[in-house]
Amino acid sequence: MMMLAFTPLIDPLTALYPGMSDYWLLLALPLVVAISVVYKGTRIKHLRQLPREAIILSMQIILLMVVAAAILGGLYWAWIRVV
Amino acid sequence: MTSQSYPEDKSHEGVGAGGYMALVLAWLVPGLGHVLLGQRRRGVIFAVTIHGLFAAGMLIAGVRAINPEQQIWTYTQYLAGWPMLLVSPIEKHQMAELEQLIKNLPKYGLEMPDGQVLMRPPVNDDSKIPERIRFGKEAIARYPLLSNHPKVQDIGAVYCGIAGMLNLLVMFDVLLRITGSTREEARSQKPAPPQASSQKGEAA
Repeated sequence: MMMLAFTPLIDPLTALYPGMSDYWLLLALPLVVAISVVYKGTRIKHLRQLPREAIILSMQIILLMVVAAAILGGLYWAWIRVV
Repeated sequence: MTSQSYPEDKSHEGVGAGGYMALVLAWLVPGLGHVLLGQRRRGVIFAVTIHGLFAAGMLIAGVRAINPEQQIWTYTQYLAGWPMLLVSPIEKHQMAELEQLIKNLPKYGLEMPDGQVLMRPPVNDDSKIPERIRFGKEAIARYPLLSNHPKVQDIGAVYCGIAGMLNLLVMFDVLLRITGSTREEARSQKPAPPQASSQKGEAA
């Protein structure tokens, strides 16, 4: 085994899985969920509403990021054809 | 009043010594502030999420997630409390060791488990590319901290930084609950004073 020296939480996971660098954007999804859970946790009065509210906020953030990416991608696509 | 609702408005009374202590503890151990205020379930949810996010950042990028080049992330990571206080000295120690290793590589090469020393191939000779790839793989297998993927490293730093910022949000919530202040949103939901109905009555 090549990776006997690997220590979790000390060494980066890319030492074991260098390919994960290609999917780094997917790592933003758990971040979005965590932000939604904590933000809604501070806002709602009753915790039983938390799962629903957190899912809705997560979807809104992801949708906004997709729309922003599409707009910026479109602008870039147009820019490289104009300039 | 249930345990999950905001207490009555005591904002005029100030935070007090106990309140400041709860705030400091809320910073030191994410989620503890709410537990101390009797919001146990909410505190546990915050604790699990913030600690989990910080640990996930460390798992993804290792100690490279801590104290990144952009200082702003270091400051936000310190908002996460004890995890950062614990990990920061470890990161400094590990990175100092790594710096020493990188400094010594051209002179001493890379010591292999079988006792052989693998010398670094010259970087300005294109014919040595396969040897350089092999050297890189061997080096990372021996010293995984040498693995450097900036995007993943940045995501790890952002995980830990966001964990700190979420803890700041939780601390503000603790402050609101200590003072009994209501949010603007909650205030706007209060029933309107009975002027309108009385005016209507008068008009009728």
